[in-house]
Amino acid sequence: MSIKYRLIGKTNLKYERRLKIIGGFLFFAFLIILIRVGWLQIVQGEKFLQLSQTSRLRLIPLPNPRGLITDEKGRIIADNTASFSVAVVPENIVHREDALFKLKEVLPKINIEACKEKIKKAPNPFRPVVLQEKVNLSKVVYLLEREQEFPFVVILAQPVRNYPQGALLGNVVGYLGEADKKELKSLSFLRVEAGDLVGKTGIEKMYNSYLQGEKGGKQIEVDVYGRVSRIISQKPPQPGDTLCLSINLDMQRIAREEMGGRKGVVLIGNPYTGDILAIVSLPSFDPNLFARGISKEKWSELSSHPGDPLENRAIRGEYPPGSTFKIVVAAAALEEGKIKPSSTFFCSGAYKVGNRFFKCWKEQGHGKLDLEEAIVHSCDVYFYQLGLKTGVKDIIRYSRLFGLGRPTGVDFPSEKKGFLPTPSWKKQTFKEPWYPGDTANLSIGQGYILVTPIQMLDLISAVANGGYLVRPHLVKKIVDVNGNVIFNSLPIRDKISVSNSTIDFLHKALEKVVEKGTGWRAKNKIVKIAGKTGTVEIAGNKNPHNWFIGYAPADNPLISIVVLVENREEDISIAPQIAGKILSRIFAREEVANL
Amino acid sequence: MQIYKGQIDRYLLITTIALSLWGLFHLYTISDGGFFYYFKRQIIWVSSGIFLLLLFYLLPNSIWPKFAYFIYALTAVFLMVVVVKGEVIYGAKRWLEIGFFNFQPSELAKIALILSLSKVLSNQEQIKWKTVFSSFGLTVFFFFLIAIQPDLGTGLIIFSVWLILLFISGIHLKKFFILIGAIVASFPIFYNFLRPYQKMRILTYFNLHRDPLGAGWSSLQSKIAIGSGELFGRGIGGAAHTKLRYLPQPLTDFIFSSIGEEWGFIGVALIITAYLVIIIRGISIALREGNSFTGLFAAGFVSLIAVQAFVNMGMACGIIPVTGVPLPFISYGGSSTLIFLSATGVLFALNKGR
Repeated sequence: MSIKYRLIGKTNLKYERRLKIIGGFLFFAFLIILIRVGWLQIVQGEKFLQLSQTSRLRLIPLPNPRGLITDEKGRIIADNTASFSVAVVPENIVHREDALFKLKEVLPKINIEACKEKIKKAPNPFRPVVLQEKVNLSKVVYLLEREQEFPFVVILAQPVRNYPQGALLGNVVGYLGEADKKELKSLSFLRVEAGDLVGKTGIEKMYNSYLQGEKGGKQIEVDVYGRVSRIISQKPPQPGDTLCLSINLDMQRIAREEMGGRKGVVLIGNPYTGDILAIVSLPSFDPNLFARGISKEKWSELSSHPGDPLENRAIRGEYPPGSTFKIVVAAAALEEGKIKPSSTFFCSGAYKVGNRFFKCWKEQGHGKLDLEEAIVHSCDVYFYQLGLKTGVKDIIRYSRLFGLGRPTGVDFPSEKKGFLPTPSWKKQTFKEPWYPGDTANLSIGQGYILVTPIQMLDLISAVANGGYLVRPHLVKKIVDVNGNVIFNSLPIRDKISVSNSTIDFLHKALEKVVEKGTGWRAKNKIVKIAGKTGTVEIAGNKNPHNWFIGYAPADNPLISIVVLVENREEDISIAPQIAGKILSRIFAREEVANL
Repeated sequence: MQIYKGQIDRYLLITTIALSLWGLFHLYTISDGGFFYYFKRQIIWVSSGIFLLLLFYLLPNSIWPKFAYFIYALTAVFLMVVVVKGEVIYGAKRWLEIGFFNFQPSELAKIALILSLSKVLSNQEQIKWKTVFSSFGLTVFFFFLIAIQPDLGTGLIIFSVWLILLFISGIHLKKFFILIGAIVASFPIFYNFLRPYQKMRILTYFNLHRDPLGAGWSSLQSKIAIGSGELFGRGIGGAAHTKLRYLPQPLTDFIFSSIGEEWGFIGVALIITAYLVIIIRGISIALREGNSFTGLFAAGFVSLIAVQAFVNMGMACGIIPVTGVPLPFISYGGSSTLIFLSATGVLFALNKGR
């Protein structure tokens, strides 16, 4: 080989050696590259592949509309609208000093310095950064129309819950909020992820699993500019089911109007089916406040309001029943054969039990009266004696039969069950025996006993329908997105073991209460009402609560009603008057005939 | 196989053409990422390059030593024109617009310099300081013309090629190390003349993830592209990171990364093998030809290919700063493709002998 070399001698050998050294160096350099690439691809390949995928692949959640809530006629109580956010693409705004100032002319609320900071911190310069949420529609339209002036603006839309009836049904439908840790774990919130909105109270909470629906999503591949290059997989969003409530918006509105500015409850129901036709609990709140993101001030105002607007007192308020409880005492006495309807007691205005005098509301006394008269005039002294004769045991037993002291099973979260006192309870709690005076107090619905308005609706409905305890409900049917009815409420009723003669007696007596007794203010020209009033004295200097529970028409009951006015401001018995106005307005409408 | 003088080196020929065609095919496989236009243009460059290779092989080889200085002077004129009025692309003036072709004189400068250096340094029994300085003068003149474009990468590559040629031609080691020492000592002065983005690139090299959207972005995306190729690559047409443009400059500076993503470690190993074949064949020509013009040209040319390939691959896999030099024979680009294929033709011509 060496013969072929042109030069001879030392120089040539040095040249040859140095060429080989250079060759060796270059070989070594390439070896380094090979090792380095091997390290990147074979040892760390998986990590880099994942990095590549996380920068390219995105899971875009597709929000689904929450199920609608309608009244019995399909009128909207809750639906969804869009909320718009204005965002900018950092890459498009970088070279435009004026962009944010121009945007501020349209959206005066934005803070330029804060926006600059947000844009600077954006993880990807090609992805939009939201500068203002809940932008009103006219501004959105303005920006969209001037796309050329605002090429850096992107409008993002998000579904938002909307309650067209506002505060009319606030504490009935409830409100939405982000799912908390407990809810995320609970089974009824299956498929709910952190950050999702779920029903926090009311119907929204009770039927959350139906209303929620299912979020869709798509996995997409995006290029470095954030443009979608391909959709890898897609799952369409599943809208929630539609709830059709038993509520009739017309009746609801009438009931609300007649209550005016008072605190209290109106419940209207169908005594045969358990349909709740109207449920007014005042004060109330506008659930739209929550849907659009409630401010801290507004929240503390609502949550610390003395009237508890967030609570539904029709289902979660507990009150002494007052004289309305006399219905139960009368039924118990008759059924147990303690008296006959014709049995009389004498009222002198007060009655001595033990060493204490129990007064009648009528100080001068009612004189001698029979049971019907005692109910019509709501004589307390008659019922002290009747109650003592009947005994606490039977009174409590019949209270249970009429549904008191236990939840009615209405489809509403955390129903309260009221309270029925017993001698053994008293002994345990106060270490005191049950005195006859306790029985006397109980007989007129005062003392320890507590009931909820919905229990009273159940009770009066049982009287109206001839002795059946019907489970009340708010949701009449549930329809899925394809229009299939997946739930239809069937009346759930229990016959109370009360004889027909007792029921007939109560019908007559309650009719006369309105005709000529304490409920006369409910009397009107349109419909004949039967019912019972109640006035609950409150400890301290507060005004009494005022009850009216009844049904109409008196001879053929179609509707039962409960009116409770908390701490009435009028000196008169206002609850029967309100009930009378509500029922006359309802019966003035043709549709009642179709009930 | 024994290669005789006058016979074309088939290994070298096959390897260079194979690399060019592979580069072309690779361009096609990623062209649905919006690069089809470049693929079509590259067909023209590769075919013209192969034509020039054959043309220069057939031309009388005596023209190269004879016109070496002339070519150098012509290139110098081009370079000066670029400095005065060149196309500004990516913040640098590197191009001369000739019809539909943006010519990059710095690519020509590499070969022009090797031709001149081969002439200066060939057939010297002893490299005198005078020779050292004249070769230094030739190199540093181009270096500055190129570095102020600014194209520091190419500048440094021709500097390395000069040092390699000086070393091979038998410079006394003492002189060589004095020279190296002087160059290293001048680095801090030189650093001050760097453009901010060049300083940034050198700095980010030392802390890659500090600024992923700024200067470190290219480097990081390049590593992701290479790494995600794993052993067998993502398959032909499967280079998603490249196609979705996460990898910047996927046809030129970072074509190695897109090859790594698509062809995996196997593909990278094949490319490196191809370059090693070129180095071995080039050095064996140089060994046979001695420190003649042909020998030094062969050594200089393969050193250029090797150094440039090393710099390109090294920056793609994140072991040297991002400088922006093409991968010889593979990267998209008219000037680079034409020059490398033509110079291969020149090498074959010189190897014919007189």
